[in-house]
Amino acid sequence: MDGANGVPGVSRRSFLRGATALAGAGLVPGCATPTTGAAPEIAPAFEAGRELPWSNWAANQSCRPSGRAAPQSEDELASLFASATGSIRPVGAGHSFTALVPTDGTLLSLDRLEDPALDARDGSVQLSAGRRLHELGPLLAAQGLAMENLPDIDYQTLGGATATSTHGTGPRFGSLSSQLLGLTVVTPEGHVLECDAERQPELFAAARCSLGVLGAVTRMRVRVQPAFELVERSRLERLEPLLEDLDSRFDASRHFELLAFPHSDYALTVGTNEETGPPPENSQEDPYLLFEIRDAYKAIAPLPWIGPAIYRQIFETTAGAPEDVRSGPSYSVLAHDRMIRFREMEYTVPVEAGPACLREILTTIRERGIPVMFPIEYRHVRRDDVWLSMFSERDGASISIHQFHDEDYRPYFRAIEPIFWKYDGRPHWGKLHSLGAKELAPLYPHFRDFAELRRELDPSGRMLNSHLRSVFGAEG
Amino acid sequence: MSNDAHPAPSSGSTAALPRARLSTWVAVMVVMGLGSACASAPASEEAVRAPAPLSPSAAEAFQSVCARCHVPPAIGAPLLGDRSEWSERGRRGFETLLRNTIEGSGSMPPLGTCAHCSERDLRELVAFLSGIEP
Repeated sequence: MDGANGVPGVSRRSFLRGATALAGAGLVPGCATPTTGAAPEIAPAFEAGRELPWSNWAANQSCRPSGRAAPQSEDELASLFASATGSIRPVGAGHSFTALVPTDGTLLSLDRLEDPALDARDGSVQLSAGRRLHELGPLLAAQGLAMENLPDIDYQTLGGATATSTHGTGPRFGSLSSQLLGLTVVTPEGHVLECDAERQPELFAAARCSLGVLGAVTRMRVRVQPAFELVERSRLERLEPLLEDLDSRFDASRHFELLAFPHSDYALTVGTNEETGPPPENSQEDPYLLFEIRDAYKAIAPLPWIGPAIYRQIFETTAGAPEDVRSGPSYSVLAHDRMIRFREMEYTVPVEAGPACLREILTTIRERGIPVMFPIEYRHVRRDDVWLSMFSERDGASISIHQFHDEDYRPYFRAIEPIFWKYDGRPHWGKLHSLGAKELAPLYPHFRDFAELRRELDPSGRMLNSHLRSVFGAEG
Repeated sequence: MSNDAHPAPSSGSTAALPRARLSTWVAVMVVMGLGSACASAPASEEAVRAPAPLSPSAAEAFQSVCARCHVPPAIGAPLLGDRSEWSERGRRGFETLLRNTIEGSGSMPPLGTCAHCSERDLRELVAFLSGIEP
């Protein structure tokens, strides 16, 4: 296996794929454990001619709205707020795992909002909240511009992504919400308000991460920069030495993150930078590789005595393979194709607490024998001044655990969530958590300020659903 | 934008990306689909036909949502114009394809993440992508 070093055309991914296939086939042919039934996966049945049900991306949230609205202008949206009865919930691409969207009232999409003039000036552009993130790259590139950072995936709408302070990794960059320089908000009472750092600054501080409860954010002024290229290099490394040198690893790249594989002592490191010189050759991507690793894990890990050691050996052997490389325009490198559906929990702890939190999570998984192989994502994000952002007034280490969508995530997530609490973690608003107002309010210096503003803008609570009533509770 | 509260674009502004450009783009895709349909006629291809042009609302959804996964080859989703992939899926019938689109199936998320798409939009989009008649 050492011969894989420097073998032309043998990327880390192809090596890992080969190693897991060989290990699984050689040891326990045909014994891969079938996946358990998904729980809870709610898929309301489609009935022709009836209002379509709605489910989120992960199919763990759903509803049967009484109607759908997709206004094409702010005027039309204001009229909708005036005429609609019952609750209204905005929806983007539905990528959130929490129940932010479900309503039996009106489902409000901003996908069809007329795009405003791009109006590129002073390092910013104007964009509709209904724009999908994957549209932004080519749109801005045509003007010689680019987003300074993007989250890991680009399926979301700009409005939906910023409503939950969706983020990539820094450490010099904040979330998408921190890249907003101005907003237009249509309130539940039909007022069209514009805000920025000078005009209505409190609304600006609240509306950049608003969970869709202040009305509908329709247009945004977004900070951009000249278009640029990036090179992403990823490789397997032993985790413990990495954690001991973590600050310098983050500082050494424009963007850095690690994905720690449970039960393995290894992590995938991903360093992304602008590089001089000719662009390197891209490795072949495999959006479904995790399925293959899961099959190997399920075949090997349960073997008594030798299973865990063999599983760890796969990573030790693969660590010698060449790094994977992706290069190109920034928007094509920062965002990844994630074709494997999953459920996710993410908490952001203070950045200095990140390594200890991650170590405790991995130790807990190992000591309790939790059967999970999905790598744990670890990112740094810069602080901001957005009231409900997970990075409000503190730099954060965002740690994410995942489970495949066809497996029951609940025992795993229940076992790990208390660890995040211990380290003063703030849950991602769009990812699974069990906190209500009582636990959330102390985590945010401006939670009560936000709740007060919410009551002013939406006194009847028509923008709330049961999940959001739990989030804001008596405060809301 | 007609609302007086909205600031006028500065003199250096860039024109809005016209959604009308979609019709040109979709026309190109339909021609590609038509070209593909005419290239060969295997015996079992009866049910796979050249797609009808999309309505404006479905075309918008295709460009901003469906194309993200059903156009780039590296993603692994069945691609627009890939007749063998869609023929295989079409054996279960158009209504099954539609149900999988609405309820989600495997890597395909419910509604393809188009929350505002109506049943009519989705029927059009499934027919357009798959080349299979409703």
